[in-house]
Amino acid sequence: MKNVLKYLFSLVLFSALLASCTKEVFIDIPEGEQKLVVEGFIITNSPPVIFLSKSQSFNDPIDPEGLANTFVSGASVEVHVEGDTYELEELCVSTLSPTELELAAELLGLSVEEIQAIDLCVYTSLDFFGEEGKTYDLTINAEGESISSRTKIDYAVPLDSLWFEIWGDTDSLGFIWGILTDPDTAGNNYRWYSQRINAYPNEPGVPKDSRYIPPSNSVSEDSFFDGLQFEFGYNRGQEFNSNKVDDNNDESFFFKVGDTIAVRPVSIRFDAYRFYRGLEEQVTTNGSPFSLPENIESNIEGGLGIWAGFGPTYDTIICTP
Amino acid sequence: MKKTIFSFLFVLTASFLFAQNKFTLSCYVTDASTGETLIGANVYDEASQQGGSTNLYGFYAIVLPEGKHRVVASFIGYESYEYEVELKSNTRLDIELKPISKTLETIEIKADRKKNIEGTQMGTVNMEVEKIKTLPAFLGEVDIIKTIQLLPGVQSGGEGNSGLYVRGGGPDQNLILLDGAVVYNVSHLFGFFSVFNADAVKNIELIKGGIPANYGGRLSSVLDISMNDGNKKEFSGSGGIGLISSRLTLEGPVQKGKSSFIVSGRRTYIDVLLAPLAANNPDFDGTGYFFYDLNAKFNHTFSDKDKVFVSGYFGRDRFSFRDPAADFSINVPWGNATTSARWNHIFGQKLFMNTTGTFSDYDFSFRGEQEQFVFNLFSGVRDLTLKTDLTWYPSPRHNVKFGAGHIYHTFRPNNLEASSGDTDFITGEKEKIHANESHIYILDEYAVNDQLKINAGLRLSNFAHIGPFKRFLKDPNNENITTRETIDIIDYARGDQIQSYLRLEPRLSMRYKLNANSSVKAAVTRNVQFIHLASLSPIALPTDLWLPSTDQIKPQDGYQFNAGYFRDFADNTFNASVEVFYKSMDNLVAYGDGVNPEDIINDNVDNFLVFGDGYAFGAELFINKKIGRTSGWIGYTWSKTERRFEAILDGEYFPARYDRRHDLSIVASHKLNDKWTFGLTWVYGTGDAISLAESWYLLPQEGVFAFEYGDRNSQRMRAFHRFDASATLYVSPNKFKKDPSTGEEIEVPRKWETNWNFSIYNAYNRANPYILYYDIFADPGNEQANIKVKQLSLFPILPSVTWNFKF
Repeated sequence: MKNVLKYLFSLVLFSALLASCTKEVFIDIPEGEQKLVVEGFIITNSPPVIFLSKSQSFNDPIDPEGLANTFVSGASVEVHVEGDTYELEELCVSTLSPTELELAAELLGLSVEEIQAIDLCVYTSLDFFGEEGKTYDLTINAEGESISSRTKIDYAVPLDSLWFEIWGDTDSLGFIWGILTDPDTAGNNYRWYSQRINAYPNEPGVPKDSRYIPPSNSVSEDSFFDGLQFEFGYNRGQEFNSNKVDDNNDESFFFKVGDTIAVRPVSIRFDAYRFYRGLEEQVTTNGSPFSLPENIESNIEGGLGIWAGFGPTYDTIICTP
Repeated sequence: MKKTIFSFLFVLTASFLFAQNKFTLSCYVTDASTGETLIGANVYDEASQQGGSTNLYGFYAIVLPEGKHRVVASFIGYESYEYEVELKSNTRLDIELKPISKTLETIEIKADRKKNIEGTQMGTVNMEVEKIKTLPAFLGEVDIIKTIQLLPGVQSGGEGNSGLYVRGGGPDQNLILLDGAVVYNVSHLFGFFSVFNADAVKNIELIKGGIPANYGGRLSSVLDISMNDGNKKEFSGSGGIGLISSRLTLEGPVQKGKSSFIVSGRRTYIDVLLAPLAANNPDFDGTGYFFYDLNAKFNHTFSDKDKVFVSGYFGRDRFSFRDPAADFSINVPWGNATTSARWNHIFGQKLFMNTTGTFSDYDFSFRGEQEQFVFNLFSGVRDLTLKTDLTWYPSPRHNVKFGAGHIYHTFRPNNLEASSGDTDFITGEKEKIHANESHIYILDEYAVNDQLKINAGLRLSNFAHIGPFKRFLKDPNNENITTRETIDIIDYARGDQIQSYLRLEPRLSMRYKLNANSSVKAAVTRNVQFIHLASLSPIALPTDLWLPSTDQIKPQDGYQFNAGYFRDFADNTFNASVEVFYKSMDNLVAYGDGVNPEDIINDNVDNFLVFGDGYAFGAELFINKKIGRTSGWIGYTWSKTERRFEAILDGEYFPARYDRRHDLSIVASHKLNDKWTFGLTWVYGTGDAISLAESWYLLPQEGVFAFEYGDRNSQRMRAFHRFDASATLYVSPNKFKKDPSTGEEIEVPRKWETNWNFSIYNAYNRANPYILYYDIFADPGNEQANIKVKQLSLFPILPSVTWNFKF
C-alpha cells in the first residue's frame, strides 16, 4: 500500500504541473535527545562488526571531523553466545597497515577510500565467527549508558535459479531475476544485496561497486509467499547520493550486458526486516504529504539502530543478452 | 430511558391540545420561471409574524386561526409574494416566486425574515450556488467544497485540498449527503477538485454545530446538498468550457408542469489534450489521468399530495500508466456512485412525509502489472439505506419532525491479490465486514413565546456488526500490535451478531431574542458515529479505509457545546454572529506506529489500530452581507484541537495536523453593472502542525543518514495566505437587429446567454507550504555538508478563463 501511495504521490507531483517551486525555510528545530546508535551485524563465517555512534542535532554542519566525532570510542562491547562472553575490540582505520586496511574494507563492505575519509572505528573480535542457528546477545556500556540487543543468524535459503533479463526495448540494460522456494515454515525474512564485481573499461582492476549494495525495497517477509516457489526480480542498488556517471544517466538502477554480478541474499530476523523496511521508507518518503513521518523501529534496547544476524547464500552471474 | 421519551412526548402532545378552530395553510414554493422548488423560502402570516421556512422539498405548512390572513412568502433573489387568504378550512396554496429583475436587484427584499436571529439553528449556513459561481475559481473550476472552506469553523487540509475539517473534527466526521445519499469521498485528484458539479446543485446547507436529531451518524458536521430537479416549464441547457474541463447540463419537462429531468456532466480533458503528444511517444501510449462526474434526476408529481424523485451521481477518477515496451502498466480508478429514490407524500395538510431509499458506493482499486507479476488492491464501502422522515406542523408554535431509518453497510477494507505467473501469493481472505445501523428520532422546534424558541430532540441509534466474519484473536500479552501473534480464530456465520451498540443522542438548541435585531443562542448535542476512517496519511486520500465499529472499535462519541450572539445590522443588510464551541471526541482511531497495510495478511484491519480521543474549542466571528450589489463575508476562527492516543507519545496530547489557531477568510463579490461582476477571496491560516526530525544519525554500512523525529506534530509550517480574484463578463442577453419592416435597429433577446469568467489564483504569487523535506547540501570546498529543511510549494499565480453558456 505504501507503494501505492508512492505512485499516487508521483502522480500529484506530475499533475501539480509543474509549476511548483521549492525554497529553503528556517525552522527553529529543537535539539533532539542524543542517543547511542548501533549498526552491527554478524554474518555466517565472519566476525561481528559494530559501528557505535551518537545521534546528532541539525545545528552543526557535517564535516569529516564532526562525522568522526559522532563515533563513540572506549566503549565496553560484549557479545554473549550460548554461555560464552566475548569482549569486542575497538579497531580504528588510522591504526591499520595498508594490508589490514584492505581487509577491513572488505569486512566492512566499504571501499578503502570510504573508510579512510573519516577515521572510522569499529568494534570487532576475531575470537568467534557467525554460525547459522546461533543467538548473539549484545551489551554495550558507553558514556555512562547501557544498551543491549539480541539477534540470531537464521538459516540461509539458497536460490533455485538466477538469470539476467533485458528490460523492455533497451538493447543491453536489464534486471536480475530469480526463483526461490520459501521454506514451509512461517517467519522467513530476506534481504537482497548485489555487487558488480567487473571493472569499468577506464578503471581496470577496480570493481564497479566497492561492496554489496541493497536496492530499494530490498527486504521481504514470507507472509505473502510462505512455502511457495516463486519468481522475483531486482534492480541494481546504488549508493545514496552517488555521483557515478552510470548512477545518474539512463543506466541508473540497471545492470548491463557484460556485468559480472555477485548476489548475496541473506536471511534476517523479523526485527531486522522491520528496521530495513523503515529505513528504506524514510529515505523514499522524505516529506511526502501522504506519509506520516515515522521513526525507524530499532531492536536496540535504550538506543537506536540495528543488531542483525545475516544468513547469506552467494551466487555469481554474468549478464548476457 | 422509556420514561424520558414518554415524558418528552407527553409535554409535546399536551401543548397541542389548545389548538382549536384552526386550519392549516400548506404550500409548495417554487421558482416561477423554472418550476424548481425553493428550499428555505420564508412563509409567514404578516399580522402575527408567525411562520417558518420551506423544507428540502420546498414545502411548508402553518396552522392559523379561522379568518382572513395576509400571507407573505419571500426568498433572497426573488420578488416577495403577498396574498390575502380567508381560512375556512385547511387550505393548499402553492406559491410561485419570480426571480428579481435587474432593475429591482438593488432594492432588496423588504420581508426577509431575519433567519440569522430568528432560527434556533446555530452554526448553520446556506450557500447560494449562483453566488459561488461569481467567486474566483481554481483553474476555472467552480468548487462548492472550497467555498465552504471559506466559512468560519471550516478548514481545508492544505493547499488545494478539498478535505473538510469542521471545528477541529476529522475529514471522516462530516455527513455529506447528495439528495439524501451519503457521499464518502468528496474529492477528485487528491483533493484539488471536489466531486460536486455546481451546475447540478440547487442548495447547500452546512450544519457545524447544534446538529438537529433528524441527522446522525457523524460527529462534526452535516453538509446536505440538494440537486436541481430540472426545469418543469421549458427545455433548457447550460454549460461551460474551461481550461481543464467542460460541462454540459440539459433539463426540461417530461410532462409539462408534472415531471421534469436534468442530466449534467463534467469531464476533464488533460488526457485528451495530451493525447497528440503521447501519440508521438509510443513509449507511454495509454498513460494519462482524467475524472468525470455525471448527475441525473427525474421527478414526477402524481398529485398535489404525491411527488417522486429519482436521482443519481456517478463519478470516477482514472489514472493509468503504460510502458508497453517493458510490459508494465498501472491502472488506478476510484470514485463514488449514489442513487436515491424519494417519495414525498402529504397526509392531510399538516403532515409531510419523505421516504428515501438510497444506494451509496465508494471504491478504490489499484492494478499493477509487469510481465508475469500482477498486483491488485481493492477497498470500498457500500450502503443500502431506507429511511422515512415526517414533518408535522401541529400549530404555528410547533414544528415536529420524527422518523426512522436503516442502513445496511458492507465494508471491504483491504482486498489484495498478487501473483507471479502461475503462483498466487498468499494474500489472505478478502475481508468483507457487514453491519446494520438503525435509528429513530423525534424533535420539536417549539416557540415558547416570541423570545424563546427551543429545538429539542432525541435520537436513538443501534449499530450491529454481523457475520459472516472471521475474527483473528491476538496474543493479549504482547502489546506490540505489529508483532503480536494470532492465538485463535473465531468464525462467525452469516447473520451472527458479533457486537452491537445502542446509543441515545439528546440534542438541544435554543434561541432567546433580545430585541428585533439580536438574539442569543445555545446548543448542546451528543453525536455518535459508528464508522471510522483509518488513514496512513496526514491528509484525506482515496486510499483511506472506511471501517465499521466492531468488537475492537467502539463508536466515535462526542458532545458539542455551543453558544452565540447573533445580530442583524443596517436593516438586515448585514448578518453577524459570534459563536463559541467546545467539542469532545472519544474513540478515535489511527493506525499504530510502523503499521503497513501489507502487514495485515490473514488478519483483521482493526487489530492494527490504536484508539484515542480528542477535543476542540474555539470562537468564530462571521459577518455576512447577502444582499445588494456588493455581497460576501468575513469569517474568522480562533481554535485549538488536540488528540491523544495511548500508543502514541505515551498518551500525551498532541496537536492535530489541522490545529489552526487563526483562520481568516474574506470573500466579496461586487456587481459593477449588468456586464461586469468581480469577486475576490483572501485567506490566511496558521501553518499546519507537523512532525519534523530533531536529530540524525549515521548508518555507515548503509551509507545513509537516518532521522529521528521529535514529538508528533510539534512543529509548524509557515502560515498560509493567498489572494484570488475574478471578473465575470456577462455578454448582453439582447442584441440589435434590423427590423425588416421598418429598417430600424431593434433589440431582440439572444438565444444563448453567455459569460466569461476570468480568475487569478494566488494573485500575489505567495509560495505557500505544501510539504517540508530534508535536503543535504554538500560544500565540497570546505569539506562540509548541511542538512536543511526545504519547502515545496505547489501553485504559483495561475490565471484561468472559462466560457459559460445558457440557452
